[in-house]
Amino acid sequence: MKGSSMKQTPLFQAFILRFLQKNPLRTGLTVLGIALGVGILLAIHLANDSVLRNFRQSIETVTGPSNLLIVSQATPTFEESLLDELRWIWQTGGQFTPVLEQQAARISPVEAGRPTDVVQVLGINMLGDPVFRSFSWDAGSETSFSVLYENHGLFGKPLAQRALKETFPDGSADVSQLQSIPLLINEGERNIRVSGLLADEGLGGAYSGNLVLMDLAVAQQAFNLPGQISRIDLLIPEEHLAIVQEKLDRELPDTLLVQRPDQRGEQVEKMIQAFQSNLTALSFISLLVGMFLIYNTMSIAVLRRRPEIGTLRALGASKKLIFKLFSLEALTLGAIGTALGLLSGVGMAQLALGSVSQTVETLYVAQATPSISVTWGPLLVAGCLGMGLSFLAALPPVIEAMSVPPAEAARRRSDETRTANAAPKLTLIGVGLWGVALVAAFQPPIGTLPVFGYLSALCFVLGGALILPWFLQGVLRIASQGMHRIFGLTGHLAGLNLLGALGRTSVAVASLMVGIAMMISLAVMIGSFRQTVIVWVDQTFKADLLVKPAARITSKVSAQLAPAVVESVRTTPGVRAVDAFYEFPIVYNGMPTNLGVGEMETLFEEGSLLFLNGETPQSVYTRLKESPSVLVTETFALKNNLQKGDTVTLETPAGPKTLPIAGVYYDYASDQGYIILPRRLYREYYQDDAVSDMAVYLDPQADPEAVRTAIHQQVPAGTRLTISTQRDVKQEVLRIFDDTFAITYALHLIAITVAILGVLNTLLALVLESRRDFGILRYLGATRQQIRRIVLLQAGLLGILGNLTGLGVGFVLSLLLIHVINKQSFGWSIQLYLSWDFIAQSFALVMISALLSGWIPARMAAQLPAPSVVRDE
Amino acid sequence: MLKRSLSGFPWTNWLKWTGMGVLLLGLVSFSWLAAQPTAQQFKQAAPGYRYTFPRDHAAHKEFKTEWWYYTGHLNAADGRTFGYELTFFRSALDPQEAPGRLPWESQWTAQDVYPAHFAISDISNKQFFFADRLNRGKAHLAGAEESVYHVWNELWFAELLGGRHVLRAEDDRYSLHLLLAPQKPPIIHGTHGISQKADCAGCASHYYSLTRLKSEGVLYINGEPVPVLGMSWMDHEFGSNQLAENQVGWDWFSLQLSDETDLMLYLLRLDDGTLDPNSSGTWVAKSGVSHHLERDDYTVTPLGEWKSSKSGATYPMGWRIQVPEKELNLHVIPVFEDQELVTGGSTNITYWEGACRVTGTSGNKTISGQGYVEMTGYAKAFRQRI
Repeated sequence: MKGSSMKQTPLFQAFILRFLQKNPLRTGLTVLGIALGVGILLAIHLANDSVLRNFRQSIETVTGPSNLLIVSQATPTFEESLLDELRWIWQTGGQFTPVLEQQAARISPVEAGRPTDVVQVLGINMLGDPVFRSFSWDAGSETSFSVLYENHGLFGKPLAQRALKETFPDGSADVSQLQSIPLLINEGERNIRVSGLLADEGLGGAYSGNLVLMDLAVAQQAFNLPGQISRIDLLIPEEHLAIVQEKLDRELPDTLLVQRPDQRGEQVEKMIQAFQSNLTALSFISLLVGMFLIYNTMSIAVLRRRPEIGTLRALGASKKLIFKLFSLEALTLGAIGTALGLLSGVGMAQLALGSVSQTVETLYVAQATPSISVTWGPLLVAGCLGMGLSFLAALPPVIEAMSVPPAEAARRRSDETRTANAAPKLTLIGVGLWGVALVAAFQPPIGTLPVFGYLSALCFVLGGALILPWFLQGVLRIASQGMHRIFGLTGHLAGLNLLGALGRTSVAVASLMVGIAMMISLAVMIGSFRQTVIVWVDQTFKADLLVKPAARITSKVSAQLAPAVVESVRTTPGVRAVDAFYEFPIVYNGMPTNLGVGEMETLFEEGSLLFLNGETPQSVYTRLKESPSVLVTETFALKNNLQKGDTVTLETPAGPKTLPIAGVYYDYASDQGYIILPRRLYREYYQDDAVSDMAVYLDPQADPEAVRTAIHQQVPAGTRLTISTQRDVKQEVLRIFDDTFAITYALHLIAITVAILGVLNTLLALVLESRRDFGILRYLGATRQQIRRIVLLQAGLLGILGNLTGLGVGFVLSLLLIHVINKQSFGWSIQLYLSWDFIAQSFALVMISALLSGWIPARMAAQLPAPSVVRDE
Repeated sequence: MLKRSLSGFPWTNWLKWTGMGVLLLGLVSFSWLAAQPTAQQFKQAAPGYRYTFPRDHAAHKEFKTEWWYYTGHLNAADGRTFGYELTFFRSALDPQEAPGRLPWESQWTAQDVYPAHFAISDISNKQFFFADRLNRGKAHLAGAEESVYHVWNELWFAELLGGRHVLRAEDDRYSLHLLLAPQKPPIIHGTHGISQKADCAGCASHYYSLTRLKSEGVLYINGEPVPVLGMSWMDHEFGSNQLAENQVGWDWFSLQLSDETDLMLYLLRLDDGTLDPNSSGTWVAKSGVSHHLERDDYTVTPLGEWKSSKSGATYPMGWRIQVPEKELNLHVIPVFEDQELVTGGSTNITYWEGACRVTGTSGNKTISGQGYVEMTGYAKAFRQRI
């Protein structure tokens, strides 16, 4: 065994490595394709992982060693008076402590006083809390009990350092000189004195250090939430844990929830799962395209060396040896590509992370951007996938290499008739796969994961690839005749040559098809989604101004407007009507969703929601006025399997309220959906009148800009509001959309790149493979020009075929993406919009790259001296 | 079970940087509170204060700082002996030193901070245990009532019941429930109702003791009830001043002698190595009549020393105490050496508070006794903090 492997090494060098060296372009393209596939997969995985890890770690450090939490599932905060009733817990040997979790925004002097990022503010009992959380800090400008005083806090070091860098760009001061940091809290700006800087370990490391720790009293005052807390952390001796949890479950009001800390993390993970698994699925596609490349390369490599294989076999090489040689070749390509992919993946992860965490922050939970953390797990998984799939993709050609009989040594070509013979059978399997795809497309998701959607997409693409030989047989026959008519003999030959090598042609067209299909389907999906959102915003957002507290950078920042501010906005001259909105996350049936509070009168008289099934706002409004009821978004209805007329049960401070759904409307703001409660009912059930946003409708003759200025002047001094005009809001919606899809755009670009790599690789291989034919043609008197023309025509023909099949498959894929995968993951209805511009552009792009990639081999083919090629034969 | 041992307790970090060191020392001894500009909002300890009991057992919130301090020796039926310390502190946040306003709108506004310490010296096994609490004055956390004697910190409390003091403290390893019956009337220390701590006017506190409290109750060791009998000592002190710059630490003695006399002494150590002339003491007769001792009325001579491996501090260990006027010649020997409280390696708030045995002579009679000794300011870094 040892001896044989020693003998094989030089053989491998001579037979495989030299071959790879001789074809640097194709080797490079293949490696690049794999590298991109693996790299993207790893990057997305790392980015997703880092975001989740950041959550998990932050939740862990923030909840500390607590083994039970009391949270509200109905309101953002709850009354602290509950604490007085928990004193019995001490007698179990347990401890408990309140927490108020809020968000503020940091004001950056660099960006002209605009809020830049979300800052987590944790209000804790500074005196008793260290039992629950470990943290330590360096003293700031003040010592003594300064943390207990108004507007004082302990800052995470990274946050303080950023603030410092912006305040003293020349680096003249160090962090200890930072006296205070201005923060936007609700609609005001507060200078929070730096009582100290948190050390990185323990709590100071939560939220990537982007946090401020305050005493509960200080935080309640700063956020104007007297007596309110968002959580109670409990630390119960293990032996009493179950009984304490049970007692709390039984005795606490239904609005409160007793849970283990890890359940909190699970909720967040559940929320962003759909988003993240979609990204993962998309990243797999580029890996699959990469695998097509390796399949392609290996098939060609085996075809090219049939004589050598035959010779080796005739010289006594076993099938096993052939298998080993070619497997090694595939694995070498796979290994180099995977290694490069892993390296670039880590690099790309940082880019992906920004986008992923931005989206999570905008759509799901306010959090600080985490840093990328590279762990061995994902590296190993991506590495194994890269290597494993490379090997799998190479397996069919390698098996073909094994089956080359010694006698066939003289023949270079594979038995192309075999593909042609097998075409009907393959087609049958392909049609079968399409059938599976069709059935799978109509299956419900598993949880929120459109598993059958992905299966359907995969089956459809595979089916398409299997049907391709049969399809090409027919098409090429017609095409070569057509081309004869247009281009003469060279055209005819180009077509016939492709038809003659049906196996290779199929592989080439299939890899083009997959790449293009991915590119097209993603583009159509994103384009349709974007267009849907544009239309939706145009139709539904009719307010002239949107007024928000300045701290509310994203809708996930729980900032409120003070009643005085709300009142002065309402009474500003030029304001005709106001829809004061308030929203906060709640848990409905164990799933995170949002409760929205709106003023129905304004909403229906001024705005125009789009209701499902084309129902008119008037009829919904009539129902709303008749009896207490709610509106829900399409996403909420879909996830909870509800429709108009069904009821939802809200746990409110006034007890559970079962309300009918008056209408289901389209909304693209959140995939967790909304339940909209009329403000009148909110006041009644929640004894609260909070406002987070105000949609302002103006008198017809009023100038939005003027009213905006007037509002700024009218509100109490020091009020910091963000007031956007209708146009601003629409732009903002699109900006958020584009931010959200930034990573999908990036994937899309990668898809295009891989597709073009595929075109190049395929054509290069095909032309090299046809050297013999060109040699014969030259021998028979064909001119160099004619040869070049044949090759270029072939490239063009392949381009067109790839484009057409890719467009067809891509169109079906985009339907699957829009109506199955996206719908099941997020619950959004997307209207199909075909961007012909893009389709034309991509068609042209593929054609140009096909012709360009045909150009090099065309020149090569043309320059072949006839005798040398034929002598070979 | 929850770990709340002293060294692992994280609020030491809090102490480190927030001046709790000063507070803790304030807790440990009022002599630390002197010489700083006085906070006008708080009442000063002034001569002529008239005590009224039981009212004066309760809280005096017009003063900045106040503490209730119980130490004692307890015996179990099986012969095991224990020392205990249970102390409740109250310290008002000083608006004059405040870096801003307190967040008044919140129920959680901390006007008073309440630390509490609980220590057990298992004399038979030479084991020392310590637990503490730190809370703000808020209904469900901690507080002290002003009209009746009831001071509490979470589930720990001290209160008056039919003229007896009831103590309760619990933690994961040890819990204590005691009923204390005073054997003598309250002893007012100092002169004219104040105990002078430094030269400046008002650098004083109101300070009295119950020097003999017959104690009975239950000590719970890992949940196991052990009935105990013994004798306790209670100190209650309140005042408003800060410590003097040149005072580096203090040694405090509370001794209960077999002839039923008692002795309290404190030595205020200055940074030049000498003793502050304001050091003083009180001798209490069997009848309960007390006698103020000036600095020159007694001598305290250390007999040995002990170096703490935890803090690195070197403490005197064992003393010879002489009060010529009372013909007292005593040896005070710690029941074991390591009764040091180290509130975390980095905080440098470290003091020694331990049970001691007393032997010696009173006149020509041999006497014995027991007591508690407290020593502060021996850990070097401690001074730097001040």
